[in-house]
Amino acid sequence: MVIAAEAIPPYLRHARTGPRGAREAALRRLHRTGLPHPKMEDWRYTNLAAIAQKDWRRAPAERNPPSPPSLAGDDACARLVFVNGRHAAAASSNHFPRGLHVSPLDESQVAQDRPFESWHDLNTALFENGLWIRLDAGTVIEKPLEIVFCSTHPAQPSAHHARLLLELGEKARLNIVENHASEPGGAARLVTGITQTRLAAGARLCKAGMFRQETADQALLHESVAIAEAASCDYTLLNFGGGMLRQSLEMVHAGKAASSSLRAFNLADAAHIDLLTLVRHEARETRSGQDIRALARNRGRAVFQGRIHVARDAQKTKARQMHRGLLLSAGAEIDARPGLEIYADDVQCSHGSTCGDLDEEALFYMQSRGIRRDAAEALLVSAFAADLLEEAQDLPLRARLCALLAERLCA
Amino acid sequence: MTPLLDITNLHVRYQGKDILKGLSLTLNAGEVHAIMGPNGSGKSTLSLTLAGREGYAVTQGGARYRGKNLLDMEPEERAAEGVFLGFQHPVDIPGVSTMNFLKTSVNAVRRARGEAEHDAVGFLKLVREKAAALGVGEDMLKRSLNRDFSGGEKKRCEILQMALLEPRLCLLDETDSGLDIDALKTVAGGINALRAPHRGMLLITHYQRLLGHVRPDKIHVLARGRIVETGGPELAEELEASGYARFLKAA
Repeated sequence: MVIAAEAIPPYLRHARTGPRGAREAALRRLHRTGLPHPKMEDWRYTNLAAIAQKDWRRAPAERNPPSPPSLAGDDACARLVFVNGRHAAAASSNHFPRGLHVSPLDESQVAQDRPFESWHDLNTALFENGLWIRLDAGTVIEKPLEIVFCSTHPAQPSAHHARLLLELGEKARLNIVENHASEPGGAARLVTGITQTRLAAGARLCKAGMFRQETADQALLHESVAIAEAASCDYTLLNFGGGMLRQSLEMVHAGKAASSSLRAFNLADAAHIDLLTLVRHEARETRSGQDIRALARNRGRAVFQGRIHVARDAQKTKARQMHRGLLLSAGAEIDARPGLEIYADDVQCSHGSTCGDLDEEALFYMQSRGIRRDAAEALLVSAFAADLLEEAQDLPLRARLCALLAERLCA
Repeated sequence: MTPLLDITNLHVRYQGKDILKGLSLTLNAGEVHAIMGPNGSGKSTLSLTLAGREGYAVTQGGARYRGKNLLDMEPEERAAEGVFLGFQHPVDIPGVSTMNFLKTSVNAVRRARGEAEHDAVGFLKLVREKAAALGVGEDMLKRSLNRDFSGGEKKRCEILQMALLEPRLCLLDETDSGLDIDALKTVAGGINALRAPHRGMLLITHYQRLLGHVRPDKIHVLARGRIVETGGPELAEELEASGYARFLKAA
């Protein structure tokens, strides 16, 4: 680094050891642009000032990583474990089904000319032991691949950065269950994670992501999915925030008839959850659907910002976005900012957003059938979530995820 | 004998407007009464007040159910005590399957009545049996309650709930609305099957069509918040022929 030590802002100090190549370029750029701030359009609701001011340490490499919780258990085809952002080989599978390849990720593979958001450079500069996951063309694996990210509780405020590159060859099919969990307690944690996914023609990815955080966690996550001709991505996100979670998802429909379907449930109990989706339609006859739900109670805040972008050549596109918010306490907040940008003329696009309390008519209907008021409320809350997953018939570990969601809702 | 339902001089205000203005009515166990009236006469206000919907303020008079003050009870207590309201517009509840709802409801009522809850297998059998008689298929039981149900399906589902909850007092609010002739026959059959010496029914309706299939013992005409005439089944035919104009003037 040629930047003078005293000029380095606190949040970048844990990078002092001096990266090279693509990492150095990323760090320089970040030093120039700084972290996103609330004056930026997409950052109105989430303020990173506290993160920028903190002198984060690199999270320690755990010699004996704790055994992280497994969702899939024996139902997984293989398991990849990250502890404090680093791939922990000892805790991960070392045999993979035929056609599935896992290898260390080289920084040259993730170089970006211009990141989606400036914080990506922090991750690019600092990730350690990232992974490159490839599935050969034509390979179909039914059992889900489980990817676990766990954070141990640090003595000092610490940061870690995880990176994945996922590529599915032509007509390959893969199910993934991604599970982020933190050990409770300890000092503050800054967690960044970026996944770049590329689906070749006719490939299909079905993915469930679950984020369980503790109050001390500040997480910045991004995933971009490039979808080639006739390929499809089915994505279900369950966010049980604890501290702050800013999550962005970019779906790029790059080839004819590419399709995606996204379901997200954000449970903001006392947390701040900010979900941003950017759905790009760049080719003809592409399809996308988004069903986003948020439940905020206590002092929780759930933000949804969604943009659908339809390029001029993307005729016959069908894009749908729906956001539903359930606001259960006076101190809670839900914000929604849907948006459409359409440059083609022969498309069907829709978006909608609703936000409210539990439906009084439904509550009365249930009471009139003998169900006590509190039980009726609990039933409506779990129904709000269950309804989201009802359509997700392909969701890996569906029953377990439904049960987990129900359990969290009643907590 | 204590009447099943005894309403005396009931006055109800809703959203600042007096809707019921001194309604009195007595229903004994074993009887079926119909309340007919034009739109805006207070029919739905009566059924919702008796079921305990919030916002309907009783300003005068009262209603006793088997000698107890009905209006003091929470809606779920009324259900446990044996009061059932068949909704004019049944509410859809996405995310709760019809079967799950039926089980939750029936077991809640059984618990409150001090009866044992149904076991899963026994309940399934019971529901299938009663559902078949009403033409409610497996598919409907699996779907979210009332979601995307046709008008006929919703009303058949209401009658199924009534059959499972075994109430003593059935308030059926415009159960005939939105039904084609076949659905009307099925629903009427379901209602007739539940007529029993220990049970009373109040059929609240605008039209005479349901009463052709479920013959009431008495018909009351409700106009401008009061019962203005009571008679036998022949009164329905007169109303069908000459309308409500005569009563609107009288009220």
